[in-house]
Amino acid sequence: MYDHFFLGLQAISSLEVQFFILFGAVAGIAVSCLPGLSATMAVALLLPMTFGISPVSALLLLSGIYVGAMFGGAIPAILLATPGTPSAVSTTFDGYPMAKKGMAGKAISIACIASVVAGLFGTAVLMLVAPPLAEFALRFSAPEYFSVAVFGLAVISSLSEGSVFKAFISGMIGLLLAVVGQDPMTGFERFTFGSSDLLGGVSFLAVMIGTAALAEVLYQMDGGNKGQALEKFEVNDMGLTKAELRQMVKPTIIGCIFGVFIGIMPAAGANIAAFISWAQAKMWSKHPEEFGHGSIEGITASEAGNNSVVGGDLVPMLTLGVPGDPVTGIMMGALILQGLRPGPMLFAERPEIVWGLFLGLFISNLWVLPIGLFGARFFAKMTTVPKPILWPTILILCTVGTFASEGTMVPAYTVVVFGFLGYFMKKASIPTAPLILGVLLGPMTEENLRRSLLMSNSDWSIFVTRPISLALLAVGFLTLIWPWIQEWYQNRIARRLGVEVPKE
Amino acid sequence: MGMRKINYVIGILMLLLAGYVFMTSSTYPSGDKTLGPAFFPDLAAGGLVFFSISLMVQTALEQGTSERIEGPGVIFWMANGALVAYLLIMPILGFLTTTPVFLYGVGMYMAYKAGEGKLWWKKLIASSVITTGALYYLFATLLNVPLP
Repeated sequence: MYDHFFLGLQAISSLEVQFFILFGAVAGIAVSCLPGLSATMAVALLLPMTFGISPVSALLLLSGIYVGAMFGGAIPAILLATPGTPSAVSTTFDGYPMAKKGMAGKAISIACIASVVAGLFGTAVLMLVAPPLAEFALRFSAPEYFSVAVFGLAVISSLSEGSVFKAFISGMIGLLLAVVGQDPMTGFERFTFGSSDLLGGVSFLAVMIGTAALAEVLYQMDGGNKGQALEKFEVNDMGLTKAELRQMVKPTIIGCIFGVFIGIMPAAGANIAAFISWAQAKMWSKHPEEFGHGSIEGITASEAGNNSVVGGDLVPMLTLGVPGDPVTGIMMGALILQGLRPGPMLFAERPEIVWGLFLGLFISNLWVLPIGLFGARFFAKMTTVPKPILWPTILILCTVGTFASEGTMVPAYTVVVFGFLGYFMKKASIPTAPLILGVLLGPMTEENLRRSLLMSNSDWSIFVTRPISLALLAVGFLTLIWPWIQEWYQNRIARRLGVEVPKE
Repeated sequence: MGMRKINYVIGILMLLLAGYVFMTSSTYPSGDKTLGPAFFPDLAAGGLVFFSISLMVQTALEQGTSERIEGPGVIFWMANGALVAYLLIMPILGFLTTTPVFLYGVGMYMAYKAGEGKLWWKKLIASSVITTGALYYLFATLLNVPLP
């Protein structure tokens, strides 16, 4: 383990890597302050830029954005009552009332400190949990990997926006897209329509950017200017007293623990982590009546919750190759584009990448503190960037990025096609995240399913007679029904506290 | 269009897609013991059939009126059209000449739609040139990717 630690240290001790860590954190905060841009979109947009740089820099750039965006979303949440990212919804509960009381600056300082502490905690948990899990997963062979893939696909049930069936339809389309190109086992060409551009499969980079970024921009442009009726507050005095800092201790611990736990579960995202942390902090608080009216504890718990998710989220993606949410899905895409497959072999063969990521994540989180505290006034200005400048620029970024990555126009056109498709999917409330998941997990599912059945002479019982595989399938089943359990639990605590559960 | 109608349309479109997959894959060679290249596409298409039918049944069983969904507005078609035109022209005329025109055109259209055309035209000229320069610097210099 110590060897790996030093390998990781070596991997990040270059000026290039450090530059991308800093760039990622700044970009993440900035993007989440821009109106209408989420962490998923930011990561998707910057994905093509990771082509020309080393895997460690690429991963740290993207995770830096993730870390930055988790905190950055709090700035518009506090100043405008408009969460910059969905994960900051619970931050608006107490953040905006604090700003109303003339404590906008304090609220941002609190959010920043809670975010950083929780982010560091999440990374520490990642560093402790992931390596042993990966070592355990080294024992897996084809049937287990198939069960892992099934478990990954079960996450689709929690990605639905309304009908679960629509989410699974989207996932199946993803699996079918993954089939295009050469068959991994026989080399036979499938669904290529005789085009050599499709021989290597549909460019999943283009699929991701199209559905996660372009479709979203088109959707928002089309939505028109929904006026912001609420007053915008300015950042004022950011100093905190000792008593205020002491008030933050308990909710930070609560947020850290719930956030990281929810992050490791692949079926729940940062917005849920933030809400549950907020609600738990209220239950444990001595002053629950202050929650929702500008409570320091409330804002702390929400921000600690959504930041400790990052470390937890990376656990299933890195150790098993199963992304828990769209952001880690896109990060997994970045790894694949670099020719690396996330999973236990990555830990065994390229420890410098994994450990470089762990150590780099600490640095990303530490950067958030000075950037957040000293840059708050600047980032606050970005919350009002005018749309006629913002949206056309993002349209260009969506397409030019993919062009740059492969040097031909084909991926850029693919982006437009999937942007178009994604837009109509959004209109019909078919979520696009399952499609991305399907494209990513398709090859893993197919190869391991066929290999397992080859091992067992087409006997399907191989998946349930091997104990690890059976256990994984059971976890998959739990994941499948998780959204209903969660809804029941969220509604129950929401009713007890008399608040509304935030929607995705 | 109402959401119920949309659900039926989705269901039927997906059944057609699955049908197409089955038809195409039936022409694929059968693998002896490797289950052949058609196995997995058929499985996914089977899933598609199952979930589409479930969606339609669910929609049929649901009671009450459903929300109405607006079709895409003019700006959606404008943005898409402009983007396609941009991607067709850009490789010929080059990034540095086409990009400012695109940024200015789409930006002005948005400003005009919001009734703020007069307010924006000078600012947008400046911002489109600056943005193009920044993007060019980012891609070509910082990230070493060639642009046409």
